[in-house]
Amino acid sequence: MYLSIRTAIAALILMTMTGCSSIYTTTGWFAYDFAEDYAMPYVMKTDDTEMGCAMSESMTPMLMAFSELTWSPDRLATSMYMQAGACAEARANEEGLSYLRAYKAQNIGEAKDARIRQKRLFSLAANRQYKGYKHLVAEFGEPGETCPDMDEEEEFFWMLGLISGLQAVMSDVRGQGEVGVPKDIAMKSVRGSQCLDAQRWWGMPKAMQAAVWTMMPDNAPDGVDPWQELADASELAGDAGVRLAQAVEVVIADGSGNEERLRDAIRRHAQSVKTTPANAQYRMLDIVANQQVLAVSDRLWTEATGSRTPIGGLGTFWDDQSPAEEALDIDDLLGD
Amino acid sequence: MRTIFLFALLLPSLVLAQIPQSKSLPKLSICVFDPLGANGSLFNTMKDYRTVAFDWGVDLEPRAYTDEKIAVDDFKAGQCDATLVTGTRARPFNKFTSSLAAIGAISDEKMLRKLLATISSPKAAKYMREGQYEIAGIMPAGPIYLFTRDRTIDTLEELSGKRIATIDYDEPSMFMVNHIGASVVPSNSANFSGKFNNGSVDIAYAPAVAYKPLELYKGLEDNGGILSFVLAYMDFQIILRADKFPAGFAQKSRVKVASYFDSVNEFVEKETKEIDPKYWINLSDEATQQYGGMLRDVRIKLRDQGVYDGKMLKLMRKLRCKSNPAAAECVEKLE
Repeated sequence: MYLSIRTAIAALILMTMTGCSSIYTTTGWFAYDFAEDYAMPYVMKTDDTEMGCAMSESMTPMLMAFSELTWSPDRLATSMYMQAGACAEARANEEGLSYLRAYKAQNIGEAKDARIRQKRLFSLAANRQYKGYKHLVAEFGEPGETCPDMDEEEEFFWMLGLISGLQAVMSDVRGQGEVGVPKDIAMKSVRGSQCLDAQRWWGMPKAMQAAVWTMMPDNAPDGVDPWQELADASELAGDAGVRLAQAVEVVIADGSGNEERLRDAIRRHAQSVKTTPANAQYRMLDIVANQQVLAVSDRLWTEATGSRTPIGGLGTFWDDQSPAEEALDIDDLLGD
Repeated sequence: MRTIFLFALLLPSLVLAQIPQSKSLPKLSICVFDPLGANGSLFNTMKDYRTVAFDWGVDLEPRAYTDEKIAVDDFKAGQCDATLVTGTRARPFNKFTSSLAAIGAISDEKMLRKLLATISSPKAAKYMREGQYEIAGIMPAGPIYLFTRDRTIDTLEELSGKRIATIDYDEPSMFMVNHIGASVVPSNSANFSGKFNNGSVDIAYAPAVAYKPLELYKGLEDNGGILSFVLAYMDFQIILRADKFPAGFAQKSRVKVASYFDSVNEFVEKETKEIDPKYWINLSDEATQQYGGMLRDVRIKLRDQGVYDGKMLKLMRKLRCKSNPAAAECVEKLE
């Protein structure tokens, strides 16, 4: 009798648990479908990066927790981790400005501390971006050799994952290699981007390829000028209103140490933002690209003046000459 | 009462007078070669170095160069007051320190650590300056290995006639490739990996840290391998135009840069572990001795031609003999 009661209780507990588990599983499927089909496209149309950061940073662990019960939502995870990585990168750039201001103020202790804070944040960014890349690999296989068969939606996630891979390597270098992101994923990502049509994807595949050629000019086909290729990709990006390729051009020009080239790329970006509105469907990506360009401009301004780009000042520089205006003779004007 | 009043009026100016005035430091610049430019790890290291240099009385602004030759040319032309370049490019500025990368002269990391500590000490300062140029620090960048597309090539005789991607501005490399009867394929740091990976050359030599970023495994494929024999240790050197910097700056810098050794070494070891173990080709003791002997001959010839510095070779021989006193070279003392 006692044994049968105990068995009944155990069975009840088991049933309850299984019941809960199946509710969670169903919820997980729902959450994935909702996030991928509605939440992510919605966020892409919005213009508030702070909210985008808050969402990706808070919702990613919650969504990924469902993978304990269902499958791993790799496409969704790729974009969430990429976005969360960009948030950490933006904070790292802020610390870079703190370093410059402290150095200028001769507060060397604070300058050193800001550099350490910056590196920690770059490591955080690298960690997230690398996870984004790994989810891409889980979904489509390792990029760089063959192109997977993809529809347009899949191509979009493919591109985000490749950008995430490239950024992971760069962030890890800036964070002093703490995460240990394998460095060959940069080249794999660039080759993988060649599976995509440059026109359809706002010049990004062209920009990624040209970026490598600027560093290894001998690898470029004969007669191809990598910097012109980058500028052409930027033009495609401007026409499409998704200016990620322009951010690539600015970051690569920044690395090259050629300040005139860098200023020109920033000016063209600023002009493009003024003349062509953001693509409504991918507004968030356009704004993220704009913030990356602004981050480089802020660093230049801070190095030169101690404070960041003035409001509305993107595309201008502290030492720009205002066009001279020839003064008229006041006596002539006021005379009879 | 009037005195107190006057004192009260004067107080703010007295307080102001006691606020330390901000130091006005000489503004100098350093041309930093980094393959990734301002996005690279060397340039980032120089951002940290800038805060340390401040304490030694200099505001040293780093400027990024992705082309090493232009960095050196700008330094020579006085566009910057210091430069950070590979030891190979440092040769015209200091024969003693650039001989640190002499082929086959450093047996392992332990010896390199000891060597860097020795030459960074104040007693070695006299070897650090040649004319107006002074070495203000040497950063190791890890061991250089021979990468071959055909792993059966592991003896000196088999290297003869093979096409080797050779850094054409590096005299010792050109000499050695000719010495073993191989064929020079002029290359630079930006294009040797492409030549190796697409099969335009049979052999390349590269630091272990280049394996992953340059995907050298693509050239190794199924039949290639890496000779488990350190050809040399790559390094980067900070060179100053001595008269621009305060007295004592370079010495403080050398000690500081030498202290980076362990963290750099840790990074190099981590990257070396990324190499697929199947690629390592272990040399027999006989082959190791054969390579060692040949490299010593090359070093001596290059010393006699004025490329390598005799004092540095002697110093390195003595350090090798400390750990292996039974070696024949310790009796022969040819270096």
